[in-house]
Parts: sequence; C-alpha cells; structure tokens
Amino acid sequence: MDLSVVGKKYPIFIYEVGSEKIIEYAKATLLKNPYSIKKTKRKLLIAPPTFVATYAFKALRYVFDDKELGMNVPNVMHAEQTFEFGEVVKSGDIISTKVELKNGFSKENKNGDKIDFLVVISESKNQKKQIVCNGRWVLVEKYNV
Amino acid sequence: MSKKIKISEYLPFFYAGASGDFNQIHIDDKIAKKTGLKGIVLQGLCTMGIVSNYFLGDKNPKIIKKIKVRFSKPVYPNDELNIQFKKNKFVVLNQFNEEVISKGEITINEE
Repeated sequence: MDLSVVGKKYPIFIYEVGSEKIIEYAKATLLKNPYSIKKTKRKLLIAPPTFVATYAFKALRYVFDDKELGMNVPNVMHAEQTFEFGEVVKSGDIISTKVELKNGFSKENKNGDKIDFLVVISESKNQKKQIVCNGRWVLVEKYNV
Repeated sequence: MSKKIKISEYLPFFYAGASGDFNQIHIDDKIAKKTGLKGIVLQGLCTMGIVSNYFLGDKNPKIIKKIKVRFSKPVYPNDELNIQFKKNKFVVLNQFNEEVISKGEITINEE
C-alpha cells in the first residue's frame, strides 16, 4: 500500500442501528440474548460493546476501497485492536463514524519480506454527539505471500 | 480461570453477514490458501467479540469500558479456543496451545 497518504481523513459514515442487526451480531459472537431495557411500551436493545465492529467497520470500508492507498485486501491481516467505549449503543441510535489514517510504517520480516503497518483511528458518536466508541485499528499488509 | 469455546464451521459466514466483513480470506478457501493460510479464517473482530461477550454475560454492556487485543495467529473453523484470564488480562489459546490472541486487556466497571 502507499503509506504516503497517511494523514488522510474520510467522509463521515452514518449508520442507523436496527434491533435485528443487534440480535444477528450477538448470535454471531456467541451472546445468547442482547441486553434490553424497557422504555415506555417499547423494548430497547443495547448492543454488546464490540458491535462497533459493525457500524465502524462499514466506515473502514473507505480505507479498504481507497484506490489512492491501494491496499491489497486479501493480503491484509488485522494485527491489533483497541476500543474505548463511551455511551452505550441502542436500537434506533444513529451513529456517525469518522476514520483517519493515523500512522504507517514498513518493516522487514526475518525472511527479508516487506510488511506494511497501517494505524487507523475511528471516532463514533451517537445522534446526541456523545462519543460511543474510539477505535485504534492496526492493519498489516504482507508481500511475497 | 479459563473458558473453552468451540468455533463452528460456519461462523466466519455468519459473522460476515452480521458485521459486513466479507474479506475473501474469511469466505473463500482458494483465496485464503493463496495468501499462505491453511484455509478460511475467522474474522479477528469476531474472536474479540466472543471474548468481550464472555466477560459481559447477561450484564448491561455499559460496564465494559475498554478492550485491547493483539491478534497473534489465525483462528480456523472447528478450532477449540481457550480464554485464559487473570484479573483484567487475558490470552486466547487454540487447541495446540498457541496464542491466537495475546496481550488482551479488558476494563470493566460495574459501579
């Protein structure tokens, strides 16, 4: 990938949280039932914290699809991940996520093959402008595989 | 303390649908093998989600404040994972006792 584009920011991605998606995500991450609260007559689902992998991952698509960056996606592995959580995410919330290429560097492995490291940060807020999650994503692209 | 979890054959596909992570190494065996893997691998964020949900259980998600992991080795369908934790630190091992997640940290505030 072309690490000279580090510093680039991408458009804000808007995601509306649906109950069915929370249920689907919970099942796919082996949580039997999402937590729920009663509000008036409706039942609101609270997403498990790592549901960020759904609403922010869609914002990360900008990075994967960025021709200027030129990532070869099948050769990219996820190396590290940090999420810091703020307000919980509930069904009906509208989440805005912005993503930035924070840092990038290259190394050689023990075979002398080049490996690129890209650090991406994400900031997600709800419709009340409250932070719901800050993410730090470290992606690695291998060459000569 | 530890907890064992079996990864089902179809989990990468379920998780791809749930999260939108359709990177071909998770759903296409031929492409995964071309990149040097043994076959399709589970999404790292799925493994992270499973661990986080294990700590969460049936509690309000607001108790989890932070989670941090390093993905050390791929997780394959049918792997048997073992979450080993001590206080707020954890690692995840596969059936060969290899760390698939290392240097895991989780911050939980139940107040």
